[in-house]
Amino acid sequence: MKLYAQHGWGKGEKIDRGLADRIVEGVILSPHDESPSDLRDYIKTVSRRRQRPDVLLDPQLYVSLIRDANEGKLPQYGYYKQNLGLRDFATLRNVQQFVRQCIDFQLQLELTHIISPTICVDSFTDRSAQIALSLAQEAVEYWEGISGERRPLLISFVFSEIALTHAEHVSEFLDTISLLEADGFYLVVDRNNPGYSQDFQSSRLTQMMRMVYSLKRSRFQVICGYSDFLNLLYHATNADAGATGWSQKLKRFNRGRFVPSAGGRRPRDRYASSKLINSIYLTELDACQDVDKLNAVKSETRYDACFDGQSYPSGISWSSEDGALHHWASISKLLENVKSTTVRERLHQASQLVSQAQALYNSLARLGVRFESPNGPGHLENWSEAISSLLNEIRS
Amino acid sequence: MGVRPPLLDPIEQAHAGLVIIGPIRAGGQKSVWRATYNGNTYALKILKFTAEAAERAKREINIMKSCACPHIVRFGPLDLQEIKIGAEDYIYYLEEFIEGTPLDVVQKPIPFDLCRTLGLQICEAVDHLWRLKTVHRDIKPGNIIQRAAQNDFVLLDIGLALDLQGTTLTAVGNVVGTTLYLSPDQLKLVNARRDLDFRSDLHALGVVMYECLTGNHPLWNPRTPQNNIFGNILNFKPLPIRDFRPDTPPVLEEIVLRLLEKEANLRFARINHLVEELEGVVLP
Repeated sequence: MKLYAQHGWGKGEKIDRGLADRIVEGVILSPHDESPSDLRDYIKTVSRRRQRPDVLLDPQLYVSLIRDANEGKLPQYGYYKQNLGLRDFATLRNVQQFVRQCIDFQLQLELTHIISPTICVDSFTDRSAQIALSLAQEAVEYWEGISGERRPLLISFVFSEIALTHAEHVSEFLDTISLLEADGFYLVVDRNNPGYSQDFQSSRLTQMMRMVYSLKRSRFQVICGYSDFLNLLYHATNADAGATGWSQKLKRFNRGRFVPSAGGRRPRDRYASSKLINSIYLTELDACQDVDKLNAVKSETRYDACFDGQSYPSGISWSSEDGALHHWASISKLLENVKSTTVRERLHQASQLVSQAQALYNSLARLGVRFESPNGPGHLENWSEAISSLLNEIRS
Repeated sequence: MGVRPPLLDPIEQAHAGLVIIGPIRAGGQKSVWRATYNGNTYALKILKFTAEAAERAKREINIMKSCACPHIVRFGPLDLQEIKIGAEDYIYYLEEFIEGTPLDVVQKPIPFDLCRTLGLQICEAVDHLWRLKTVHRDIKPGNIIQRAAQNDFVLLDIGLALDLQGTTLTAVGNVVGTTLYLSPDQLKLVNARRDLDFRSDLHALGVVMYECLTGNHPLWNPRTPQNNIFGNILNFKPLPIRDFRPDTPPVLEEIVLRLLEKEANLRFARINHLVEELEGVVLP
């Protein structure tokens, strides 16, 4: 599985350094956060890098339907339409126009994949799902008429976490989309809670993993956006790529990302531990050091050297760029542990990593190390249940 | 059927060169006869006229005319005809006569290579039908003929399936006829907005291949729950083929079990993927 940078506001040198250090192999760009000219320039630069990264652009048409959204730079793009409502998708003409303009825009750029536009789906059985499917079908039809284009077309879907509640709805949706003549899918789960944590209700997580598994079995490319540590599970189910970014909003998608915020204090510095399968505060890493467990928690990436010789981890100078690079490297490190050929074996390997993380948390707890709620082991039980549940369903 | 029914003479008389030789299959609403027309042998299908039967026959004929697949029965030289005999109206037409054995009477289990050939050829038929956005809906051993002295299979009775589906679905609780070959999709999609697609036919093909490999129906055999075939179609995971036939190549088993997945999205999303996998099976 490739790990991509999920681009957003404040990229600085992060993506370039991540690519140069080969800890990310591509980028999913956000036009919301760059002007058209800056984006074009950046695509030119990044696509010509020696590492030949995958360069994708999420057209983010769905932002237009989010009430009172901060549309950022999106209105500067010709393909983007402001203040759309579901009624605007009632006519085939409009659907065609949205899809064609969006694809035509991407065709001019040096992207490696083309992503179709979509809207946020609240339930796989409601009108938003029908519209998303119409956009997908139109993209496929338009794509068939474009001659000489060798880049893969990915159909994008952004769906609410709640949509994953009903297994039969997920199945029906999969039955439909697996007939689309596309090269693959770009999937984003719109999480319920805007806060950053790795938690994911187990039955919904099973459905998401089942979706990746089913689409991969049907030989589609599958790229998961905003997937952060969950990439471990998507990697186990054979996804081709997953993405995560440097800020909490780029690690976990919530449509609130596009609602204007009142600002706030700078987030506390975090440390991504591949061993705990979580991101913890640097102060919590201090607590691990106090009980002589620093090495057990550390991800052993090349960026961990900065902690050597420090009396306390939180005492180091840890820039946002350092944090981003370390975060990507830790997730890459985690993914390296899953390498079997069959999904069953890969799921068993992922399950083992989850068990090891639980054991590590338990040993830290016994030594008196306390974590703030989202940084604790709460998610691991759900992950473990989701893996077991999928293992019960699949044959190979 | 010792006595020649009176309706055959007027049909023969209506077409110079048509000679009806004997019965192939007879039923209340439909009978099939071996016949020659201008010296060549065909199957003559005769149906009691109803608006629905006529519509179905037209659709079947259109599909046969549109399909150039060696594994789908071909249309004959006599287009759809109507005739009144006594108080009854009938419709009839000619289609290819296939000298061979229906798969339901072929001794099972069959050799692995023959089963693979069956899979590949019925795949080709399903693919041709799907290009016409048609789903057979009634693939079963009785609708597949193995040509005499050839490892070659032909799919029959296109267009009949809708009617059969209607019949069997009203017979809930009775294990009859084609009920055994219904896909989970056919049961689940009765009231759904989504239509069936070729993956429903792939499920039926999986049932047929499983039977051919093991001599047992995957969802209705002495080792399956015996309460309700519909429940088994929807929920029972077939036993591994190697439980019945231990020397089955694992890849072939995997393909057939995948065809039998309860969810269409877990079967094959493209027919050519199935073909590739079947072609890749290494036989003992």
